[in-house]
Amino acid sequence: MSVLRQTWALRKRVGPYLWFLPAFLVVFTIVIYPMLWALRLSFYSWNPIRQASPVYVGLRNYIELLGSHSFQEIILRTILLVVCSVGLEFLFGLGLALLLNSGVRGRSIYTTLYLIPMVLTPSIVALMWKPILHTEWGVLNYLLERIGISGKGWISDPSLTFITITVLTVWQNMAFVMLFMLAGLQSVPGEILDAAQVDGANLLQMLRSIILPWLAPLIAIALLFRVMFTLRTFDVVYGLWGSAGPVNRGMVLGIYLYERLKQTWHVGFSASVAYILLLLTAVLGIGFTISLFRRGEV
Amino acid sequence: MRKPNKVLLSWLKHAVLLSGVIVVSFPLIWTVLTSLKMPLDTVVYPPVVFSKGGPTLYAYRQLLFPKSIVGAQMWQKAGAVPDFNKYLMNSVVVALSTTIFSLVGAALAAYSLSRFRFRGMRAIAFFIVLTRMLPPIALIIPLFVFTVRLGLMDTHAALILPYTAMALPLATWMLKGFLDNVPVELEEAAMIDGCTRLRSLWKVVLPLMAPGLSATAVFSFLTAWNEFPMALMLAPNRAATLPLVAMKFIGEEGVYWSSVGAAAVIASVPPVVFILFAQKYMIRGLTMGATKG
Repeated sequence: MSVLRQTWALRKRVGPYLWFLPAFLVVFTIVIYPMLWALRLSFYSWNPIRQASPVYVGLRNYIELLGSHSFQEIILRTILLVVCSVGLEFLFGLGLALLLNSGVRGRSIYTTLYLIPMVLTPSIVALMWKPILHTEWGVLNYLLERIGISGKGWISDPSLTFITITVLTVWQNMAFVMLFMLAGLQSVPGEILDAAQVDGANLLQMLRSIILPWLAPLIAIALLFRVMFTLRTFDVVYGLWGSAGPVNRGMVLGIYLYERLKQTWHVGFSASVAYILLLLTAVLGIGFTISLFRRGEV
Repeated sequence: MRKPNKVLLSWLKHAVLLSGVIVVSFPLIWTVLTSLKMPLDTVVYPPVVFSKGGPTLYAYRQLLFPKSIVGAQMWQKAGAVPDFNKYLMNSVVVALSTTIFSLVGAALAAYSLSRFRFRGMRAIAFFIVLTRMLPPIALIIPLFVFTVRLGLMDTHAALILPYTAMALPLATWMLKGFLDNVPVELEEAAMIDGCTRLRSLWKVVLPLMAPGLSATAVFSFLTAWNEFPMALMLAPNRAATLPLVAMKFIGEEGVYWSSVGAAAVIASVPPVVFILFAQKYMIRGLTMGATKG
C-alpha cells in the first residue's frame, strides 16, 4: 500500500477514538488515576507533614476502622439517614406525582415551584434554614408556638440533629423522585387505566397492579441515585454547623472522612475511609445497575 | 351523583398541592424577606415581615458594595461579613470555565459515540454510570496531595479541572442522546459539500442541538456552582467559591443574618433562573433514557 493509503487507513481506524480522547484523558488523569493511587495509599500509613514516606501496613487501616464501635455507629447513622430520607422522598415524590398527573390545572406551575429546591446549592440551603430554625427567634418556633407546640432547638439540640438533617435533605430532594415518577406516569397508556376502571378497580388496586409495576424501572433508577447521593451527605451538615454537629450527632461518613483528615492528616487512613464509602456506594449502586442492565433498560 | 364528588376531589387536590407549595417555598420566601431587613430586625421575636421602614437593600450593599457603607471597616475587621465579591467572582469564573471545557470535551466524545460504531459501547455506558458513583469527597484525598504537589493549591485550576472531570460523563451521555436525534444525512450533505467532520459538527449539527446543548451546559454549570467539599479542601481562601460562604456564617453570635439571606439569594440566582427558563430541557436531560420512547 502507498504511504497515503496507509495513513488514510490508520486514520479511519483510529479516528473515532481521537474524538473520544480529550474527554477520556481528563477523566482518567483527574479521577481514575488519583482514585487508584488512593486505593494503594489506603494500605499505607502516611502523615505527609510528619513522615517523609508512607509506611506499608496492609489491611490495618480497614481492620481498625471496621472494628471500631464509633465507626460502626457512624455507618449505621449514615445508612439510617439514607433509609429515612429516601423513604420520605419516595412517599412525597410519588404522592405529588400522582396528584400532578391526575389532570389538575396549573400543573406546570406547581411542578416548577416544586423543582426549585432541587437545583439549589445544598450548603446554601442550610444557610437559608439556619435563621428559620433558630431556637429563640426563629420563625419556625414562632409558628409552632402559635399553634400550641413548644419551640425546639432544631440546631442546638443533639437529639434533634438527625431529624433536622433528614428534613432538609427531604425538602431539597423529593422533587427529584417526583420528576422521575411524573415522567413515568405520563407514559402509562391511558387505555389500561380506563379498562381497569371499567372493570371496577379502585385507585389502590390500580396503583398496586398497574402503576407501580409500570414505574418499577424508574423507581429503581431514582432509588439508585438518591441512595448514592444521600450516602455522601456532607454539605448540609457542614452548612449548618461547620462541624459534625452538637455532640457529633451529625457525624455521617462524609463528615467523618473530612474531620479525620483535617485533624490527623493521616492520608492513608483517610483513604481507607474514602474507600469504605465508595464500597458502600458501589455495592448498592452496582447491584442496581446490573439489574437495570439485565432488564435492558440502559 | 358523580359531579359533586369530582369538584370536591379537585378542591382537595389543590389544597394538598398548595400546602406542598407553601412548605417548599416558605424557606425561600423567608430568606428573601430576611435579606431585605436591617440586620437587627432579623433577630427580633416575634419575627417581623419587614423592617420598620419597609424592605431595604442594606444587606446587599453590605455584601456587594461594602465601601459605600459608613463603618464598614468595623464589621469587615470583625469578619462578620465576608468578602462576598471574591466568592462571587470565583464561582462565576470556575463555573463558566467548567461549562465550556466540559461541553467541548463532551461534544467531541458524544459525537464519536453517536456516529461511529464503537466496540464496547455497553462498557462505556456502564463506565459513565460508574463515574457518577464516585463520591467527590473520596476524591479530595488524592486530589489534595496532587494539588499541593503541583503548586495549584487555592487556584481556579484546582477546581476547574476536577469539576470538568466530574461533569464530563453526564454531559457526554446527555449530548449523545441529543445527537442521536439529529439525522446523519445533514452532516453527510455538509461533508459532500467539502466540510470536514469537525466543521460539519460545528456548523450544521450543533446549531440544531441548541436546546440540548443548553440543558447540558446548565447541568455542568450547576455541578461547578453547587459543589462544596472539593472547594473546601482545594480552594479554601483565595479561590473560594460561593458554597463556602456558608462557612463564614457559623456561630450564633455576631452574625449579620440579613447578609446571610442576601448571600443565599445571590447564590441562588443562577439555579433558579435556569430552572425557570430551561425547565423542560433540564427535565429531559435528567430523565433521558429512563423512560421508554
